[in-house]
Formats: sequence, C-alpha cells, structure tokens
Amino acid sequence: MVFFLVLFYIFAVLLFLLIKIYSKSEFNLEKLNSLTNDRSRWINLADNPCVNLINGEPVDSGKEYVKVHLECIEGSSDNTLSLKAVEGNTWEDVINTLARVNLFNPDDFLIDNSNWKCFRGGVLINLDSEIKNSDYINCNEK
Amino acid sequence: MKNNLFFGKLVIVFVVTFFGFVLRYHNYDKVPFPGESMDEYSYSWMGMSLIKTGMPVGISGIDGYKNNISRYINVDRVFQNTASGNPMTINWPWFDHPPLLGLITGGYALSQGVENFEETNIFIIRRPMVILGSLTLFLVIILAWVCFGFNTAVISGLIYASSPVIVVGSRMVQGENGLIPWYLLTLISLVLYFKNKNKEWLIFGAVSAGLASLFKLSGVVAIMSGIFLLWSERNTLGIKWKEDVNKFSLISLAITSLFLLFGFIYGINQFVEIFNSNSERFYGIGSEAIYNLLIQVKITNRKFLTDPWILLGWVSMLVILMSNKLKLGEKVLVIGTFSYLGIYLMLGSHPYGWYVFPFFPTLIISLGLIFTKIFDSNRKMLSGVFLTLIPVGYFLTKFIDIVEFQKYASVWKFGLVGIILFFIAMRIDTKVILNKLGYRLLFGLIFLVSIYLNIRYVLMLTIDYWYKAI
Repeated sequence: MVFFLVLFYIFAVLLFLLIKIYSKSEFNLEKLNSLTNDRSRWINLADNPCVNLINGEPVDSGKEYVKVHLECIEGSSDNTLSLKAVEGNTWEDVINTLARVNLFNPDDFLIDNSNWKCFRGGVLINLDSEIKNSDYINCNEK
Repeated sequence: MKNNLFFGKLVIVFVVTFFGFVLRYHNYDKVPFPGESMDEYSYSWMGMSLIKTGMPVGISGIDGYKNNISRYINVDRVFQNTASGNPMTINWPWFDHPPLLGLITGGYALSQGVENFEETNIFIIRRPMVILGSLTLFLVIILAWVCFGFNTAVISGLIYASSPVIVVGSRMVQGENGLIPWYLLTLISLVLYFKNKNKEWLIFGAVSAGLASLFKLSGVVAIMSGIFLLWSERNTLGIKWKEDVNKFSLISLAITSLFLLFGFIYGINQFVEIFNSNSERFYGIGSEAIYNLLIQVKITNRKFLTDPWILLGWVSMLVILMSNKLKLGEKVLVIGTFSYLGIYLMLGSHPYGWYVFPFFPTLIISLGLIFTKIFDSNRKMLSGVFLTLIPVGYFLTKFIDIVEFQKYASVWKFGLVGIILFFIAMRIDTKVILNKLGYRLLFGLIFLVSIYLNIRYVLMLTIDYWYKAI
C-alpha cells in the first residue's frame, strides 16, 4: 500500500513537471487569440450582411456597448455589441467584430469606394473614428 | 447448456445497449439546442486548450479569475440562436471543474481536425457523450444483474435505455455524464468484492471512485458510497473491514488529489479562490429541491422535461427503504441514492438538470427491482398496473390531445375500472386468480406499451418540438 502511494506520487510529481514545462513553452497570448478569434473554416459567409443579427442585449456590460443598425438593399439588421468583446476602439473594429459574429465579409464595408455609408446622429462618419460608450450608428447600403 | 444460456443473456444485454445507443444518437446534435448550455463548449475548449497549449481555457461565470477576456465565439451560430446577447467570458487557467471530461471531448474534437473554439461544433463534441451514455446504460444493466439478477437487469435496462429525460440528458457534455460510469464501476466492483472477496475488485473500485471525482467534484459520491458500503458490510467482511475502508479511501482520495495538483501547476492561490467562489455560489435549488427532484427535471436553464419514470424511481426507492432488512443489492441502491442526495443538497447551486443525473441509475434499478417483484407475484399486480399506468397515461397525452382522447375515453374508463375491479377481487378472494402466465402477459404488455411510448416520445423530440417545449 505504502509502495503504491509512493509510486503514485512520484508519477504525480513527474506529471506536474511535464505539464508545467509544456504549458510554459506552449502557451502565449498569440495562441490564445488564435483559439478564441480564428474563424471556423466550415462556415459559409452570408452574401447579405443583414441576414443575421445578434440576439439579445449585452446586459452584463452596463454602458459599455454600441448599437449598429445595418440597412441593406434587402432587409435590415439591428445589433448591440459589448465593447468588452471588441478589440480596438474604432468603428472599423466594431464592424470587424460584427462581421465575425454575423458571418459576413467585413471587406464590403472597409474597402475604398465601399457601397456602405455610416452615420452617427445623421452625420457621415469615417469608420476609423473612435467609438464611445453607448454609441449608435446607422449604416446604409447604396 | 449453461454457457449457451449465459451467451443468450449477454446478447440480450448488448441488444438493449444498442437500442439505447440508437435513441441517444437520434437527433443528438439538435436536442437540446446547441448553446442552451454553454458548459458543453466550455468543457471541450478547456480540454482542447490544455492539450494544444498546456493551459486550460474555458468559460466561467465565477468571481475570482484574474485572467478575463470577453469574446463573441459564434460556434454553432449561438449568437443568432440560443445565446443571451452577452459575449462569453473566457478565463484561464480554468478551474471550475476537474479536467477529465474536457480532455475526452476536447481531445476528440482535436482528433477530428478542430483547430479553434469556433469549430468546436456540438455535432462533434456530443459524439463521445453518446458513447459514454451507452456505456453508462451497459453498466446500469450490469449493476442490476450483479445485484438482483438478469430479469431486473433487462427491465432496468429497457427503462434506462428509453426514458426521455435520461436519453436527452445523457447526450450533453456535462461532468455528471462523465462521472456516472465510474461511479457505477465503483458500485459493481464493490458488489463483486463482497461476493468473491477478491482484493483486485476493491482496488479497481477505489481507482474508479477516484477517477469519478476527476470528472466533477460531485464524483466524490463514488468514494462516499464506497465507504458506506464497506461499513454496511462489516459483518461479512469480518475484522479486516477497517483495513479495507482505509485502502479504499487512500487510493481513491490519492487520485482525487490530482485535481489539487492541477491547481498547483497553474497557481494554487487562484485555484483556492475559485474553489471558494464555487462553494459560495447562489443556492438556487432552494427549499423546494426535493419536491423538484420528484416531479420534473430542468434539462437546461430554459427547458423542463417531466419524466414519470423518475417519479416512479423515487417511489420504488421509498418502498425499498421501508423494508425491515436490506439485502446487499438494496443497500447499494439506498446508499448510492442518499449519498448523492447529501452531495446534491450540499453543492446544489442552480436547479439545472445535469445535477440530478447521478440519481438516475440507482432510481431506475430500484424501479426495475420493484417491477421484477411485481412480475413474480399476482398479489402485487394491482400496484404494478397502477405504477405502469403513470408513464403510459402521461406519454399518451403527448400524442393524443384531450379533445381527441374523448374518442377513446370509454375504452380507457371501462378497461381500467375492469382491471382494477378484477385485482381488487383477487386481493379479497384468493380463489379469483389469473394463471401466472396470464398476469405476466397482462403486466408485460402494459410495460412494453410504456416502453413503446418512450420510444415514440424520444423520436418526437425534434427541433420544432423542443422549441415549443416549456
């Protein structure tokens, strides 16, 4: 019995060291981001950015949210995103995050001569402008 | 001849297990909806990240994590369907639960070519659970067989294979579904140890009990049940029973302590903090916990699925509990059920369905035992008919609404009253008897109808039905 326990704890210590070394050499934020941010290779992107919308509201984020209304040639889509999950602080970052969640290609918005124009309070904005808490924009497809 | 008979029984066991597998596999990736429990992804992500990067990363709602990021990981399009609108809170090192289940589902996902969290689709990660669920069914049959014989094993197996709440629940990636097979292996090993006095069974039981707790901490039910069982059999074990308890406890707790080692690897302070947060969780099961155990099971945080088999299991457990002297098999059921009740009441946070899953094996075997006793005695037939009519009547309402039922009302009323009067007469005057084959056929028929209705109901659990379900 004692022999078993000694053997077991030798095994446990070896396991401890192995995992510790493995974790130190393999884990970094880049790998974490790759796990959490990379897109699935198995999804089909929607042709129309208004086909999908984010269900519900990010109530746990307090005032740290932005609202994006998309008006497409066919249909519209209302979305509220938590700023906690948006990496960066521009509207471009918001559109990138929205595109990831709603499965469309963000390039349609972000290329020069894009078919899309976005307005905040009726004023045309650049997507590289900064976002503020509880902001709201309307984006229209030409 | 004896070998042929045993082989025939074994074939029946495998047929029942395969039947359970088919029901579990049917719509396994659709019901419950992907994302109704984010735990399913969290377990798998933890295992995946642990294997890929050496760091357990998962979703947690528990206070105390120092590493937090919020992300929209739209696996299975949950943000268009079941998610609440809040992004997922990703934490590392993730200590919510021990790592074994995540290593199974996450490891399986990696073996299927999954590279990131968004690719961890439910149709992949639930596949190992369907296999584990079928293995659990097999072990339920074996436990019933070693405790009470083949007839109880088959009856318990048929109910466990087809009970809708058990079928649906066993598909989910939840720690309980991982710990149950090891818990059952512990009980089976100890019964075999009591019968054969072969020390290998004691050690195997202890190892299984330790492994159960590495799926979820409530797996300590296997250790607790083991200790109580050894204690309850002290008279047959003789003077060495304390030595057996020591051996069993030491081995199983040594294996459980690997979770502590897991904490040491990534930071014991964080581990202790999460452990404390876990123990201070909102006591959501409330004072109605036991009432809810009897009448309904909350499968996810939104969907309830009432299953009369569970109620009958509890009724049977109480019947067994009222016996003057419990035999070994009955002790196994009582100790198993009530040890877990203690853990459930102690650890119970929210009244989600998966917390009650570990009750199911012992409850269903209790019901199987009571049904076997009913099969063997015509004097108990009235209670048997009464018990089986509970699931039959309940599941009929799922297929025939009350207006349509009016067509069959006379058959139902007069048929039932006729049967009841006949059995009352049989209880009053022993001359009024049906021959043994007759009453067995009658009860067997009602039982088979109830199993058929189980199957019909499980096959009815499609996306549309689940969407409308309460």
